[in-house]
Amino acid sequence: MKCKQVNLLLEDYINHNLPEEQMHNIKQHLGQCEQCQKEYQFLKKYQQTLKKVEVRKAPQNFLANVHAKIDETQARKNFWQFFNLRRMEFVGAVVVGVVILLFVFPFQTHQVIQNTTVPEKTLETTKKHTQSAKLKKEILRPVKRSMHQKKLIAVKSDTYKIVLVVKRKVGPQEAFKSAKPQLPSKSSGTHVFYKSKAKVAKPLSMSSSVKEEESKDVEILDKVIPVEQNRKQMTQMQNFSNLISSLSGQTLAVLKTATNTIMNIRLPMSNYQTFISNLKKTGTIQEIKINKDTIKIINKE
Amino acid sequence: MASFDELVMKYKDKIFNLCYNFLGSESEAEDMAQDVFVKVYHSLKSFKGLSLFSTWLYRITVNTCKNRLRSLSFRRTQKQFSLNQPKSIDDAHPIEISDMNFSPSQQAERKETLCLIQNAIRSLPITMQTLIILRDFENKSYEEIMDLTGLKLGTLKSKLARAREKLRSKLQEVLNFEM
Repeated sequence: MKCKQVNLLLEDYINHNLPEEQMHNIKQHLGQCEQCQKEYQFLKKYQQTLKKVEVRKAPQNFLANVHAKIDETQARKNFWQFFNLRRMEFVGAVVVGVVILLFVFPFQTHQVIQNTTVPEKTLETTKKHTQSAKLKKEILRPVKRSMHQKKLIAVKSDTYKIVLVVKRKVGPQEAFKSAKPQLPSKSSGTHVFYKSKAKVAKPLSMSSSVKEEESKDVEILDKVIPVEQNRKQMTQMQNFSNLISSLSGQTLAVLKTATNTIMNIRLPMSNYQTFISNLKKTGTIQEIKINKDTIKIINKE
Repeated sequence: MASFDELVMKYKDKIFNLCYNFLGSESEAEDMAQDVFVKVYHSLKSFKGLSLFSTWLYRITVNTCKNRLRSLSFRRTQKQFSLNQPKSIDDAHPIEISDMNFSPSQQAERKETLCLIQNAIRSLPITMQTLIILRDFENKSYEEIMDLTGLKLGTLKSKLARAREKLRSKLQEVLNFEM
């Protein structure tokens, strides 16, 4: 028998848990092998010592302590259950929503405000455009694009630039008298710059003072209404809308008196409808043209 | 809750004793045994009855104790010393052997021997400790240990033999076990 095999069976040999033959073989080996004999003696004494080990008993209040610990862990568990996954998902969704509102909304506002500012280039091109013969032909073309207009209004942003092309031969003095006093005051919340320039046809009976003005090019107006690019100025956007609504009446007065008036106004869609309806009431509208971001209102001559 | 209380009352001493054999301190053992029953309380629903309840309970206890032995906080609380180079009696800070309840009775010498054996066992790797505790202290059968540890009979026997051999080499100098 080999030492390794004996080593594995030593415990059973001590406890007499082996068949007679194996017991005999191991006894024989232990008599010859000093190392295995040492191992055997150690194990025997070791087991004898361990037999004396007393069994410890749990303390008296063990059950009560277990219950206290269960209550404690239960309370902790309930606390964490409050923040269960569904609740966390809801909270997460709210947080994401708030973050989107905080970061995306100002960006969108900025875009709207940018749309409302009138670049100088637009003014120049509009001016040139209205002066061209090509435009005159377009102006006289009847309106047959109501569906297209509606689509545009629906699709495009709520801000439009309105170009009023007024073709009416009126004396320059009359135009100024009617237009200038009706200018909106700065107290309305937005800044309105007003210029007027119009070519005036020579009336048959004209005083000397009027003759002096004949040679002048009177540019009626280019209204540029810059809205301050500030999120807080959203209320001013509302003021701006109100201003345009009130302007519609004043503009009509200008339309009645001025000749070749070009109004370059950016107008929110809601006000645009009021504006157009007011214009239509006067019966002076010849044509309304809606382009990509420009609405041209051509007055009857 | 009543049936749970019955279970606690039935097994509390066995579990406490097993914990004590692993940890060598009554306060630690009580704490561990309580933790074991708390775990049992919370996971009773997951007990599928594939093994005996006692085997399941022992398995939880063994794993909890092994985790505790591995934990850094437990290792810090244990005072490590060499069995081959014991401290002198004149030392100002003698070694405190955990919960030995030394008495001046005639059993003192035997208890001291037992204490040294326990300390020698604790210096073994955790797997060896587990096998020796289950086999030699808890007197579990090979089958029960196989159920608890998942070892095969051959592996279990050879690991036990190796653990005892190691233990003997640790103890022979201090205890004159060669006889």
